[in-house]
Amino acid sequence: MSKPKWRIIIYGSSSLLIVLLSIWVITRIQNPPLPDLITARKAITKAKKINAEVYAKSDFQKAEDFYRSAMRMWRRENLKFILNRDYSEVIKSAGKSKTHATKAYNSSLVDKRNLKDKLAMQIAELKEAVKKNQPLFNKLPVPTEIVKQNSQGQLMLFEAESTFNRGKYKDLEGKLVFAEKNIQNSYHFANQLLIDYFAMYPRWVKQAEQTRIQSKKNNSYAIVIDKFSRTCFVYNKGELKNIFDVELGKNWIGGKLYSGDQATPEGQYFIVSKKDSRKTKYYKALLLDYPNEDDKARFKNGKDNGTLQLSSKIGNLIEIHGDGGKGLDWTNGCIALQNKDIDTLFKIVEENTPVTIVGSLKPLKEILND
Amino acid sequence: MKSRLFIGVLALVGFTMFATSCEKLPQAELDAANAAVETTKASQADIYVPEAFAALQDSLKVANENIELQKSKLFKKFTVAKNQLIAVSALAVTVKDASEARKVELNAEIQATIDTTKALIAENNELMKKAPKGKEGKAALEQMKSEIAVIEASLTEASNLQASGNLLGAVDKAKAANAKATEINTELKEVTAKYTKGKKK
Repeated sequence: MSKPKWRIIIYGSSSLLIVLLSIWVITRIQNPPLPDLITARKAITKAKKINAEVYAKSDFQKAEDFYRSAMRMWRRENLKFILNRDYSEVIKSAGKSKTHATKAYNSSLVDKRNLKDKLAMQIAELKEAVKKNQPLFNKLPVPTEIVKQNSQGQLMLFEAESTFNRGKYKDLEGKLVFAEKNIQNSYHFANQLLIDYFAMYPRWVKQAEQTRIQSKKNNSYAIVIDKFSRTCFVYNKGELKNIFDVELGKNWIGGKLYSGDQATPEGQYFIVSKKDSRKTKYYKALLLDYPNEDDKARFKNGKDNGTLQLSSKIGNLIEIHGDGGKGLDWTNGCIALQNKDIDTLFKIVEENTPVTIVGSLKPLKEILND
Repeated sequence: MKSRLFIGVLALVGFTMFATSCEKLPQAELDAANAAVETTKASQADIYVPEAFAALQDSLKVANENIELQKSKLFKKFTVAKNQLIAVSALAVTVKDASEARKVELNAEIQATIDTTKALIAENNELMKKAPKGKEGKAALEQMKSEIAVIEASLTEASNLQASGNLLGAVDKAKAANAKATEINTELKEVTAKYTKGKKK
């Protein structure tokens, strides 16, 4: 064979070898797993936008872990000779990341919406409970610690609402539990106080009716004080003639037990003297015969059974007097009327006019419905 | 002779192309971007500007993906990734500044709310002095006094939260205290107005 022919064969074989080698190299080199990583990253971003790291913590964490793992494996493979790289594990890890991110997104969407609805309802219900119960609660002489509990509950409710408006629903579950517990406990205390107090209701109704009948029988005036409604009813010959607003002692629920307890007594009394402005600092006053025999007996029992201290005194000088109209219970146990009303009363009643003081002439059910 | 020269030139051109096609990994820019994101996180940007911080983290991830993509190739070009990393570092500064600004805003809001509430409490205490007292000098407004004490305690808690860096918690607490103090203030003014009207009669 001639020289040029050998050259053709050599060059031709070399070119074919190079082409075959190139094809082999190209088929061996894997495509970088970028699309899979991008898909995983976008799924994580989407889940994060709806706070999946809070609402689906486990799945979201797995999504991030698989993504980081995929990147680490990719980096490791890239250190190898190009023909030896295998991205299959990287692609698998990226796929798992996407799966968990999607799962986190879907469950967060539902959980967040459900939680938001549930919390909105709880807040609305609690606010409604406050609106309904607080006016009555404010009127009752409850202990300081119960007032504090109620205040703390209401403050926490305000705080919970503020957190809700910021969209941080997971943060406020604990706050609402605290608010509800404190508010409802304080109302429960107040309700129990009222239920226990109103056990006397039948007796009050009977005493008030007796006083009215007495007024009719004697053709004279009689007074009935309804503590709960802060009302003074004036009867003449059994007919209702006047109604006045009154103010009482701070601890107006229950009868008077001892001097200084700031309680307005309950029971049947009489006016023992009329004091004009020269004899009282409260404009005009009608002195009652507190303590009566019932009061004395109760006071003695209290000392005997230890509910009252031995040093306690029974008290006296319970009056119906003027200087009322302050809008709250401020006396030390007396019954205060506005001056114009005490003027009217002063003119029509006499010494020995019966005065019956009761807790309420309305049943508790009606008061609570009001 | 001519063919050898031709092959030599071809080899030289090929080598030059190969050498200039393999850029160095932008390690300095990568380290700077990572450090910038960490600094931004330390400024609590994830709490105070969470969306901006999430976007920053995403940008860093995109840059890292681009780097690995280039490392996967035979002829590596890191120019785009390098520019992305420089952009991440710049964005990190912006996000950090936004986080600091938000904190300044919140601190101002907390302080203003605390100051307003303290003023309301002082006014409430004055109104209570004017409120009527009982026969032996004991005030009939102890329920409100207890409520005011609870509000004051809540303000202290708000200040403590602010001092410890929990600004969002402090805002919620301060606003709640303010709302309750305002309620009491309204109630006291109503009672005082009624009392003053009664006195005039």
